[in-house]
Amino acid sequence: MIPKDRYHNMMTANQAVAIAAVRAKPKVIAAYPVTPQTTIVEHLACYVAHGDLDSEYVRVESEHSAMSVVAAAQGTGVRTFTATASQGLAYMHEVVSACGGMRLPIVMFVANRTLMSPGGIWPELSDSMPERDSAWLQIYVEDNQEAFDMIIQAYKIAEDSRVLLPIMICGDGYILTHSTEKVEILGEKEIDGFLPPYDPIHVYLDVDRPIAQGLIVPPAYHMEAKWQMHQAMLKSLEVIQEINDDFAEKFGRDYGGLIEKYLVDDAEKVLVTIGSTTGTAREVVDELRDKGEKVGLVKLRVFRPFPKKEIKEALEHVQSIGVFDRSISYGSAGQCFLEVRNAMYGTQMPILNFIAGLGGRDVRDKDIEFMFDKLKETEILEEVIDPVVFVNTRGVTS
Amino acid sequence: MKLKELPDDSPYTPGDKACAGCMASNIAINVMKILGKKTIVSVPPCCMSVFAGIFPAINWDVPYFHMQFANLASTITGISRALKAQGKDDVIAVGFGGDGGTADMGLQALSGAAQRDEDIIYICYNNEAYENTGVQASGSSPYGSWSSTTPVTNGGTGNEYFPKDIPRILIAHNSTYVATAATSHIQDFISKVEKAKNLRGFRYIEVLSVCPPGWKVPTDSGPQLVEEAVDSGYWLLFEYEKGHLTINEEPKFEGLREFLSKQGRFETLTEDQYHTLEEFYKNRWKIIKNYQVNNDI
Repeated sequence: MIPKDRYHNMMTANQAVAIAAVRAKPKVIAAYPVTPQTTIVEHLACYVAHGDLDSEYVRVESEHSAMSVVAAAQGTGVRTFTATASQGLAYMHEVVSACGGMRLPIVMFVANRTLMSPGGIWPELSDSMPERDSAWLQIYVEDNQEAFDMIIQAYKIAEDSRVLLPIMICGDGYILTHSTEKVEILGEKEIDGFLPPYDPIHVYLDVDRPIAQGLIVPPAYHMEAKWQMHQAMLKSLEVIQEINDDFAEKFGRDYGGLIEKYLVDDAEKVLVTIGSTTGTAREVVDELRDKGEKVGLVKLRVFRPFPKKEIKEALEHVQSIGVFDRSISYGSAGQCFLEVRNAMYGTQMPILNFIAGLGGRDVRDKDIEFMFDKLKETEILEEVIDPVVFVNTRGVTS
Repeated sequence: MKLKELPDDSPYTPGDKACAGCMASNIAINVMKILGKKTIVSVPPCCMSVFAGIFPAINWDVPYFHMQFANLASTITGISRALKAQGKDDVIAVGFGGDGGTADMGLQALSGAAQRDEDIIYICYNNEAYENTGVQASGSSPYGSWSSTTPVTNGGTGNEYFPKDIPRILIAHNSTYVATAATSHIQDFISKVEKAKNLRGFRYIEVLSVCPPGWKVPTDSGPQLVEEAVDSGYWLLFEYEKGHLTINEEPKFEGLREFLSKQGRFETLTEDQYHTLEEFYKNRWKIIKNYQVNNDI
């Protein structure tokens, strides 16, 4: 049994996410195993069996069905939860893409893992990045505590009447999902106070008030619905910030909202990071600062919607920017890089893109140091010809 | 419920955009008359999602959820589980799917829902091809039939495969209720839908649905063709409930040649192919008959 009151324990992100889901009290959970997410649905099976959570636990036969079950259940007016990774997310893609337009505030955890081929079970963002255009909010977490906190916040964000869009909380596979660290589990009552029981305000299936969802919509009516989805996405920027601030005030953990700035204000060179690598980068920034180098860090938390304004405001004054991506859009560049450069449009800032950690390759201290060293080269460059740099790659960089 | 007791109004309302002579509308009208208004409907992409589910004018006077091609069974599972979680025990979750979505890409979700004995009703209107996209052969198209992906050329002979037997696949899952129905045998049809309505668990009814453009038959021929399909042994009427199979109508095995010859899709059927078909339908009958014979063993 999970203690009802606030407690601390050593746990993986997967356990923290499963307990966060229990605290959020979803009425329907769809479960299908996929590495490295699997232990989430294992934990949830036990919590439901032991009475920690009163929920319909549907042991579906595929991820495609997992997302179908939660979408239809959410559409019938209840809070839901599911989790997936990699091929599983790709397999459920067509259902994932249907949820935004139906304005279903579904919460899903994605344990980021590489998408084949080459195959692998290790961390990479090539699973969730292709979903950036699926009308889901995306928030990437750095550690296990943030994974717990953001699942709780995710329900509040998605269910806000200004948003009503699905949300995926993404965390690096293995680095978070299978590594143990101390996590503070908030108590049931205090979370109930922060996240009240679900009261569907969006349209939902009810025989006393027949409505239709997911209809075929001809060109004459189509664009307005999509414009509304875009507006809701943009609106969610302020909602995410509000809920971050509310959470910080109540529970004392402030993630900065859309981005987290670390020693940026007087920095000359700044690295933009996403996911668990931020922890390593923060250490390196500290070490370089000790040596007198004016370096800083921006942690990208929210990828959809993209906090364009906040990025530009944070980085306008620096001399050069490096953007770390644990995924790449082949033939173009890393997805974070493309967004950051777009946000910096109009400035003449040199921006480099560091592709590292693909397929789960370690991103080491010296790789981060390499990135900052590389940024020094931009001081003598008149123009960045090819901004994409593969880090720690045999025959390319070593 | 007797035929004359069927209500005049159906929660599937008039004015859909189905082709002239489409039997799928007929099936939806009658099923919904029996299920009534305390029903939530889901339809995957198929003829019915197009002719009755395009914004802003749809034909469903009940909550309606349109999802994807491969997930009708898991979609109505989600509806059913959410209803259960809310304590709404008196509301039915029903799905109407075509044969392509059922026998081909929807089979995985259907099998999962049957195994878990989800509390859902699944109606398959079987028009024996992907009619919505313009008559392409599906996993449930008959052997020897023409479709736009089984062209009949000098050397070609139409569909080279035999249809999948979805009811038998679901019987193999020990499903709560599996039945076949035909609109020509309306009292049998009513009893089956009514029985499904009153049971709890996984319920599947497959109904033969004549598609005039796909079958290349006159628009007024549907009702007569369905009757001939049953008489000739082309379409069997049976139901399986709690391990027990009942045959509702013994086929006369009369008129198969006439039944096929009325349909343009069988226009180029050779004599050899005809005999292959005849044998196929007789064998299928024997298999189903054996289920009944073995009921009490």
